[in-house]
Amino acid sequence: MKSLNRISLIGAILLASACGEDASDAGNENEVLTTVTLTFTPTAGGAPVVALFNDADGDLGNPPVIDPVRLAPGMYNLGLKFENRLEMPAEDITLEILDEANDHQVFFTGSAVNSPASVQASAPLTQVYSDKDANRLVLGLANGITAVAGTGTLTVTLRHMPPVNGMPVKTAAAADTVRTSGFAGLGGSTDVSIDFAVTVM
Amino acid sequence: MALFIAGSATPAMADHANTYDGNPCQETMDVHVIDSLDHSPVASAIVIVDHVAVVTDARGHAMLERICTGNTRISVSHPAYESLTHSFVLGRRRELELELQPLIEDFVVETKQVKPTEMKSTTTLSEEVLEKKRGLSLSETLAEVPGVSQLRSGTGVAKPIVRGHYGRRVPILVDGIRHRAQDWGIDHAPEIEPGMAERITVVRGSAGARYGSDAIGGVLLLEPRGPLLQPNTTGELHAIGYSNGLGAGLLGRVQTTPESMPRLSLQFDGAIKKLSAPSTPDYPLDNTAESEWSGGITAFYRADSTTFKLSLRHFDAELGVCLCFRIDSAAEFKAQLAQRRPTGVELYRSDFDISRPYQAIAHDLALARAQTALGFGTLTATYALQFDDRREFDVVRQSVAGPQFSFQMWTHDADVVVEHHPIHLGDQLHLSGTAGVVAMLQSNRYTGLPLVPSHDAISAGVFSVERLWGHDWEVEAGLRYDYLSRQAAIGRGDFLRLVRSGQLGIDACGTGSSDTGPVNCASAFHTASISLGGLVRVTPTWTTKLELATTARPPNPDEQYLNGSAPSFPVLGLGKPDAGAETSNSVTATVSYAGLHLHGEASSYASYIDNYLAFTPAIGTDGQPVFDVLIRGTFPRFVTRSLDAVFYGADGYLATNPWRWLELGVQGAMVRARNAEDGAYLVFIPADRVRSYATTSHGAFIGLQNLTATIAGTAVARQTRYDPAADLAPPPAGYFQTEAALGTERRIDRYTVKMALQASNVLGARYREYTSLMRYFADQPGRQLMFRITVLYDAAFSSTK
Repeated sequence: MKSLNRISLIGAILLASACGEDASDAGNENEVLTTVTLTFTPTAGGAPVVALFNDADGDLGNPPVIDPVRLAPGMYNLGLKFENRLEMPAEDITLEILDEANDHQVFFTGSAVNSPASVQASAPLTQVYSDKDANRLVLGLANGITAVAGTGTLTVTLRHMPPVNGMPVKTAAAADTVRTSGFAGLGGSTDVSIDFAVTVM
Repeated sequence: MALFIAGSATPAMADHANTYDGNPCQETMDVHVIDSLDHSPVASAIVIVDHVAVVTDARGHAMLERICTGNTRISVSHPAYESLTHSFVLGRRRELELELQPLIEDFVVETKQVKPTEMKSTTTLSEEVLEKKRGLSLSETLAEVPGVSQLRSGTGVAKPIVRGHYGRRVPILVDGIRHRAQDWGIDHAPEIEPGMAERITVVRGSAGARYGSDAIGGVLLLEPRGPLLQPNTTGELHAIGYSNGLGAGLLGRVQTTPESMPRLSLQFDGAIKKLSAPSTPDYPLDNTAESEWSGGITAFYRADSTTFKLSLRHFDAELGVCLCFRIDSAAEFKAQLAQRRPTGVELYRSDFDISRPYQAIAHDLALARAQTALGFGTLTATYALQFDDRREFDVVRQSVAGPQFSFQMWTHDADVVVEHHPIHLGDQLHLSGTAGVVAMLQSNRYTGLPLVPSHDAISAGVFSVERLWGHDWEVEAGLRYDYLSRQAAIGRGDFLRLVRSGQLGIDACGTGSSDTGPVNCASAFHTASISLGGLVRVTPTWTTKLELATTARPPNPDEQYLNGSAPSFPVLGLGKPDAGAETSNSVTATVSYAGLHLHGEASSYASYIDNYLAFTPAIGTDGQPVFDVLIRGTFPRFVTRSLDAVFYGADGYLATNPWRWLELGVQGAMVRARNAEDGAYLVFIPADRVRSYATTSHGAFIGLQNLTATIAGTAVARQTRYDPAADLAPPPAGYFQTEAALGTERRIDRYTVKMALQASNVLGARYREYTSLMRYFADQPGRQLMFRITVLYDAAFSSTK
């Protein structure tokens, strides 16, 4: 074991001489997302209902905590917030999405929602977009929700659709495409795809 | 005295002359010519008996036929040796060993490049063959070798598969030094320009005793050119045009040994390649352009008994990753499999742009070597430093700069190898061999999205390979021991996740679970590799070989430490930090035939791999696959798992030239690989394949020389042996591919100009390859035309003409 330690020591010196400063410590910037907040604000007034998807320690830590969405029947404004809570203080990614609104869109699908991207016969929620990007295409950070009694699953998907060869991938037909062909038929890639259990009563 | 007839053969011959059947000139005599100093075989010596002249082969053997009995004179000559003549009485069939005395030592170095025949099945691509493949990547260069196929990721990203093994199980030795890089990912292509090699050898089958503990599937040996031994200047230039993707490449080399300093030889080589994105028969594969350059400087200095070598190489590449690669959640991935074309393909273009996602790779190799002649043999000492820099850029929001995966690896390698001269044990019986010690020190730094922790490793090994040469048989035994110690700082969260998922015991890396910092996980491996092989030259044309080999391979860092979503696969991967070494026990039988108009080889093999480390779907306690919920969706969890695996198969080729102007060949390979415990098939095992070709050549035609035309076809079956639970999609259909090539050359004074037109996928077949990641997303590229002009220059040529 003694001779081994000596080898390791020689090794350490060699490595130190070779590596010098570790160039990779410059840091990698990454678009990590940990937390999505849905805020349902009753249009008639009253306390907002907040539901979180929170993967506090990132992709590979503990499983995420997903709040159930419990609403009373009525009309709501639904606001979405995306954060990276691994940073201190938490980084609000919503601002970046707004900056690149032309390349992003949020879609609402699943058995709990009737929306431009999803047609469900007896869904408790009906979603309409209430915000637009610079190209006058819908974005989905702000929405109108009508809730009636029922249960189901709400899937919130944030799609990043940067242009390909200068041609826009995000088009007015995006939600229609999701409705008819699913996300596989839509260009771009998925930044967020999370499920909430919805109960309206 | 230059003449020596080993073992004073004359009296014995007289005894055997009793069986003489009366025909005085029907005798056969087997002559073995060796160097008197080191007992190495002397090739290309001219042996004359009774006006019958024969040249010795690589093993120093010459078979003289139809010579007369009675008093006979034999003479042997070779430019590097003193000629010898001797008289003796010849009986019926005799064997003679003759020792030649070298004239000058310098010359011996050049003539003594005879390598022992491998006990394994091997294919060596000579310079002549490689010349026709300049401009292709390493894996494309080797694609026609029997038993080799390609594991493809993008279009320019591929690595060779040898008998079902790739990457971590098929090490690559560049100039005798192991290529140290991130070769574990399916989408990590070797950072090597094959144009630097004068010769490439594919060794098929477990070869740990000679080449190191990870040579489970085989080894790739890339040998650069040696020094110019006479004052001269030579050079070569290859200019290549590509049609799909459109692009060009330039490779060059200049080598010089100055008249004023003949002991010094310098070599400069370089390559540059720029290709736009290729297209399938129906659509372009957007963002698969490649931009690559590499260069090397090598200096040789020959002192009296020692040769020094200094070499620096750099390789640089930017490789676009197809926009069609969409690593979304399992559900989306499955949904897009049903599509015939990638989504959004109408916006795809073939151009030179490389945008995210792409890989930026740089690799440096600095090598210093001294080779010295000692009384008993040669001693070679080598030190090499390698730096591998791999950065992978994913599609991100504009505010995010820099790579998402960044690996920096420094490796020091040092080895000292002694090759002793053949020891004369008797007539036609010699013992030759090699022994050495190797050491390695490595530092691996990773930053980026969760994937692997940074880690360091140190290793040392000792090996010996000895070979006993008889007249027409050889036996080789090899033994090797390796020690590897690796240390990783695993983030506390990652560590706990590995514990929770059952990949690691809480105490596997020592105690201290109350701490909050990273957990230092150390592992040490002692591995032994043994080989025992035999070769019999049944007749001058038939050779049979049999080898038994055990090779033990420690786990790769990713197999131990992977902890993240795989960048090239829609799965979440977890390693096994306490994984043990895997041990392959294999047997290989090879038969080869080398006749005048026909040559071929057939090799079959079987290996049982104990503790085979596989990346397989995680199965929960309920017997169902495990899925993890991430913010990007639900992903299947894959884990490193030890299982027992069986690999077996066969490969070989047959080539015939019934007439001088025609050569026909056929080759094939099959591999079977399954989990020995449950019989499940392993993934990414190449399907059965057969390739055949016809080449016609014409010596001269209107001032052009060596006209050749080749057509070839490759049939690849659908892989029907697969495990639906371990793969994300069933294998694609089989396919048939055609190739064609035309070539000619012309010599103009000191220049030789060669021109070639090569076409692959001539018929523009639409196909997907089972061993390609692309198969989940898009077709392989369609028809490709390559035009190549090669100019060879030899300053000494006109004066020696």
